[in-house]
Amino acid sequence: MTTIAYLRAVIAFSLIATPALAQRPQQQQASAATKNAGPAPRRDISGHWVGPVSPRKEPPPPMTALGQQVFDATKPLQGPRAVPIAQTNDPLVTCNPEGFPRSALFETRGFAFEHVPRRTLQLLQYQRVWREIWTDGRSLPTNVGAPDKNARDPRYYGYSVGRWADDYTFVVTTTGFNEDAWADERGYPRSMDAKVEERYRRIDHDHLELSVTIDDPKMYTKPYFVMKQVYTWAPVQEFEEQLCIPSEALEYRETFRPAGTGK
Amino acid sequence: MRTRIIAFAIVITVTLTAAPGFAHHSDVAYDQTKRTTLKDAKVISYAWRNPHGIMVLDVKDETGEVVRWTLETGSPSSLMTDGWTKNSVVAGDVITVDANPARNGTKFGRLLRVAKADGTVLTWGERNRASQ
Repeated sequence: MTTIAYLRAVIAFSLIATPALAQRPQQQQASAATKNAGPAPRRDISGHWVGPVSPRKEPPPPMTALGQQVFDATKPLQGPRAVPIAQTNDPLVTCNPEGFPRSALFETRGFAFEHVPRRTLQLLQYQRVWREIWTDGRSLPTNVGAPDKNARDPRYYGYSVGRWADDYTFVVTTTGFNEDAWADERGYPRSMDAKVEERYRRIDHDHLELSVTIDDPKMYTKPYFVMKQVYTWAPVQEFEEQLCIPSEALEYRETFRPAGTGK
Repeated sequence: MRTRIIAFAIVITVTLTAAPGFAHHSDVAYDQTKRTTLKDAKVISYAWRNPHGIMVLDVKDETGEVVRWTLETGSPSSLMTDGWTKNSVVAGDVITVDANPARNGTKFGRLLRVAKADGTVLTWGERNRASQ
C-alpha cells in the first residue's frame, strides 16, 4: 500500500470510528441491549428514546447578510467559536428556554413520543418540556407575529403539525418562532418564519433515525440539512430528571468565571 | 512514517470524538492536553447539581502551603452513568484527583478521575476519552 493510500485508509477509519467512540455510555448500553431488535411497529414512534448530548452537525450553507450578522453576535459555549462561560451570551446559560429546533439538536439525551387523539406529544427530558404536534390535518399558521388581532404570537417551540409519509416515517413541520432562542448550541440563527422539518424514521423496534432540515431564506441562502442521528430505545422507559435550575446555573457561572477570564 | 500516520489518525479521531456528545458546557477554559494530579486533597464541599457539580478541595503544595482548588464535575445524570452516587464524594474525604487545569493558571479545573482512600476509583467521561 502506498503512503497516500495508507493515509487515506487511516483517515477513513478515524471518520468511521468517530461517531461510535463519541457515544455516551448509556447510549452504548442501549446499543448493546438492542442488537437483535424486532421489526418496527406500523405508524408508531411512541416510547422513550436516548441519544447524545450534542449530535454531530453538518456544516451550514452560506448565510444571508442578516443571518451572518445574527450569527456573529452570538458567543456560544459549544463548537469552533466556543468561549469560556464568563463570556457567553448563550440564553441557556441562565436556563432560558432552549426552544426549537435547538431541542432537537442539543441536549438530546432523552425524549419520548406519545400518540394521542388529534396530536402527537413529544416529551423532552431536558427541562421537562413538551411539544404538541397536531395530526388532525390543520395547517400551520401563516400570520405569526403579524400586527392584526387574530395573529398568533411567536413561540420558543413554534407551531407544529405532523403526518405519516409512510408507515414508518413521521414528518413534523414547525414554524412561528420566537427569535430569542438560537437554532442550536453553536449560535446559528433561525427567523420567526423558518420552516423546520423533522423526519423520524423507525428503522426497527429499537432504532429511530431523525433528520432535521431548516428552510429559512431570511438566514440561509438555501435549506440547511443540519443532521441525521439515530436514537435508541431506552432500556429503562423512564426519564431522568434533567433540569436547568437558574439559581444553580448562576452559581456555576460565577464560581467558574475566574477560570475563563484570562490572566 | 507509518507510525506518524497512525499517530495522525489517532489525533484526528480524538479531535472529532472530543467535541460531540460529552459536555453540556464549554471546555475551552481548560487545557485538555494537561493533567494535573492533586494528591491527598481534602474535600471541603461538593455540590452535586446541574449543570455541573462543584468540588472544592484543599491541597498542600510543594512548600506545604494549603492551596484551594475548585473543580467542575459532570451533572448528576452524567456522573450516575459513570457509576457515581450523590454520596460518592463528600466533605471531609481525602482523595487524589486528576483534572484538566484552567488555561489561565488559576486554581480551577475540570475533574477527570478520583481515587479514594479505600481504593475506589471514580471517573467522569473517562470511558469516552479512553476510547480515543
